Amino acid sequence: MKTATKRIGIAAACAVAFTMAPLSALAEGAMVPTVDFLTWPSTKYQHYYETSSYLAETWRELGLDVNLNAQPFPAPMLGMWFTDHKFDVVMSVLSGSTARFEPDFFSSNQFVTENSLPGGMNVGSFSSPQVDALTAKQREIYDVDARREVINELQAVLHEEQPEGLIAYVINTTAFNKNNVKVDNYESTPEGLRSVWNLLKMESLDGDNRILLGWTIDQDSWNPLTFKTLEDLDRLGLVYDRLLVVGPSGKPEMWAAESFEAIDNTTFEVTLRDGLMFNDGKPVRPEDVKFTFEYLKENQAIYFQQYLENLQEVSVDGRKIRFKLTTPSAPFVSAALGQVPILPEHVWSNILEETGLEKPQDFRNTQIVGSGPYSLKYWKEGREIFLERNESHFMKPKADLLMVQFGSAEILSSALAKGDIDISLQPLVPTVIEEFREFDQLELVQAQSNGYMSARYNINSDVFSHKAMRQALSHAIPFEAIIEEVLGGDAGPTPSSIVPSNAFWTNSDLKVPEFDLDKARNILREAGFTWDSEGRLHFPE
Amino acid sequence: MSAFWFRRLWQTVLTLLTMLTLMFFMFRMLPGDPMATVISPALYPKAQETLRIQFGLDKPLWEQYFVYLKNLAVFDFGLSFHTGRPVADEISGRLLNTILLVFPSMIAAYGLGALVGAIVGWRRGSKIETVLVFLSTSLQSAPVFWLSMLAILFFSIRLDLFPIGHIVSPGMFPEENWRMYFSADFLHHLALPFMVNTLYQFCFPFLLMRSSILATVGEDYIELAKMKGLTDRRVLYHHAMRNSLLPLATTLPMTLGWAVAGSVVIETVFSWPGLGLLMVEAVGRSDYPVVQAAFLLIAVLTVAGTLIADLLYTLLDPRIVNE
Repeated sequence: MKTATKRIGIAAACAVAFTMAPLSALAEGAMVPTVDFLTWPSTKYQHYYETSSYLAETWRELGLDVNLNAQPFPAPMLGMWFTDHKFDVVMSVLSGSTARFEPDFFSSNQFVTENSLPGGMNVGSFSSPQVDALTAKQREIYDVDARREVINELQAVLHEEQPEGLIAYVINTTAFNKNNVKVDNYESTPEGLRSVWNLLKMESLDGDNRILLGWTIDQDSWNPLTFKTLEDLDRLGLVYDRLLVVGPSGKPEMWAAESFEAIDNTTFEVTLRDGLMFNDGKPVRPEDVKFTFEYLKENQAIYFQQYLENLQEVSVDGRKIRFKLTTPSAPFVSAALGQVPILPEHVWSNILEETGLEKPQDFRNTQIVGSGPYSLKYWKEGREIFLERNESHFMKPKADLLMVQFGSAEILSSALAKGDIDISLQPLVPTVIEEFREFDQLELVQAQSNGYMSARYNINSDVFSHKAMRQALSHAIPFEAIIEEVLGGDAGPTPSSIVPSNAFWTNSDLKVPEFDLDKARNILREAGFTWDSEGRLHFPE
Repeated sequence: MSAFWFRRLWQTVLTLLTMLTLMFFMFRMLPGDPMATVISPALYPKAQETLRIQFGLDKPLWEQYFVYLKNLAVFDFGLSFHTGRPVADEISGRLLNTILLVFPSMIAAYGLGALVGAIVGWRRGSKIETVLVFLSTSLQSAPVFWLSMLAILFFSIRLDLFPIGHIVSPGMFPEENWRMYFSADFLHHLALPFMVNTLYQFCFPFLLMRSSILATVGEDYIELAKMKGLTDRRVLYHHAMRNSLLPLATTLPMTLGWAVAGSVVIETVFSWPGLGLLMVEAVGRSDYPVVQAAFLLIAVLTVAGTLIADLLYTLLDPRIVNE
């Protein structure tokens, strides 16, 4: 009691001292140590680096000493970010994807206590009983509207807690050559032009029915057991069918499945579409679906393991396939049913005998037997990928796709401008976008990503364990300047980690905290922070 | 003779072993976990564990080191962390492309450098000498990625004489594979990176030859050749140049490894699917097995080049062995 009174007294004294003589205010607590701000290398990721330096500059005005620690990406930066958590703040840039429309991914998954182990998504070790409880709750609700209410509540809690300083969600701009390609009703999905929904519509105007798409990312693996990246998965999704595919609106759409029905909170039933064929002429059977899920689980497929662990049993009844889970999981629907490629049992059940390999993970799978809208005609590593359209597929793709590999994004842009390729799958940098506006033959298209940029705080750091500090900093993020000056206008502000482009799930009642340094100072002052004669911030006593 | 070669061989083995060891530990001392780089944004912890065990990263470092040496002894370079495929496959698929780009341009640079260097050294003080020395040193000092980009900008985009990178036109050779190396399309794609690399490498042999010729100009045997009434040209090509070739002949093999390492930048700019591009990707992903194998290859090339240089030297100047 006594100390509490004393504290109030000191706080009052500080406040008075501050208003009277701000430069010689009493500094009672220890000086706030220099903040270690892990960020991206300025050479290759200039706009990420610039964003972090805008933040650092603004925070310095508040009396916080910030050290920008730029590290090469991916190594060692990714390791420091996700495994070692070696930062006080990290310039977090998370890429969007249609699969990540699933609201759990950018909310619960990032902030639930259980994910704060090394390698987990909760890199800042944030922990709140409220968030943990809401996480468990939303994962049990399959009715999307009811679930949305819980997700909204969760976003409101996170908004109050400020486990990260939200900066902007990203709008990627890519371009195509409209003399060579027609894309009717372009869909602004997070993947932009490389979304299956857009690829299927592309029509070639130069008569050869083949579209040249430039990219800098090659396929690492065509084996569904060993691939690890979203980019690999995207291309697997072109040659294999999936039961559902998350649509441009964020809602899962039927694909190889005709219908989907939740039986109870751990059981679903899916009816397989009739007449699907693998490209070796054999039909796709419900047994293939059952086989696929069991096979991927049994062989611990790297990407799918996290989702399939929860799968207890798959059973087949006529054209119906029933999935039984161990624990209720609403995210399972789009995460597993919406991503797992349907494999042909007749190929995968005996690949070891046929190839003499030791384990199925060694199978390169470059002569893919799949039922998807495209067939992999050939893959020349480091050079090109040719996907031939499967004309009998129910989605009726319009052209063949030839993906061409580039060593650098700059040269890729030049190739597009020159007309050597028809489409850039690579997001363009702001300077190139400006330049491309002058080219008549190029059409620029935007992809509103559900990925976003934020300053992710490490709650284990002395500085950011203070909720008031985090709340104060939410008013010290010059998001408008960053969006305009650094990101060339290709971004939008967001009040939640489930960003506005994920229209169905974002909490539209939340407001973006305004950029106002006085407000930030007030919050700090009220929490007992003080400034010394040099303007450096001190902790409350 | 045999004692000399025995010593040389022994030194070679020792060099390679030191190199291997340094490389193994140096890459592992870099901060960052290779597993953290293989998925965006993070790999499911259990899947990481599976991979860690699969790649032997759960074992202590010294154990990993001995396993590495043991495997290396039977030419097993391990599996790429990133693609899970044998490193030998990954590298051999790319090596030929690099060799086809780098070796011809090295030879061209040395041939051209020797010839021009000799002529310029012989006519010392001419205007052309000043211009060439200035030009070649500027070319060598300019960052090669910049040179490459300028070349693309000017020759490919402005003049449309050459394609913008790649090894052949996309979609040209759907059927594998060796036939493409004998096509005009391949040569067309090779031309620009070849020229850039040749110009970039030109400086060293050029300056070396020039100063080497300068050193012979005052020699008695040159004086004698002139006095015999031989033409100026004959004195240069048959007497001066021949004797000045020694330093050049011995540096050429030594630069082989260096040349392959130097392909990194050119290949990235020209989207040339060679070893250099693979190395850039592998370093970025902490794909140790691929990086180590690639660096080892460069080391072997360098060390072998030095051996060849020694051998050439003993043939060209037998005094070395006796001393």
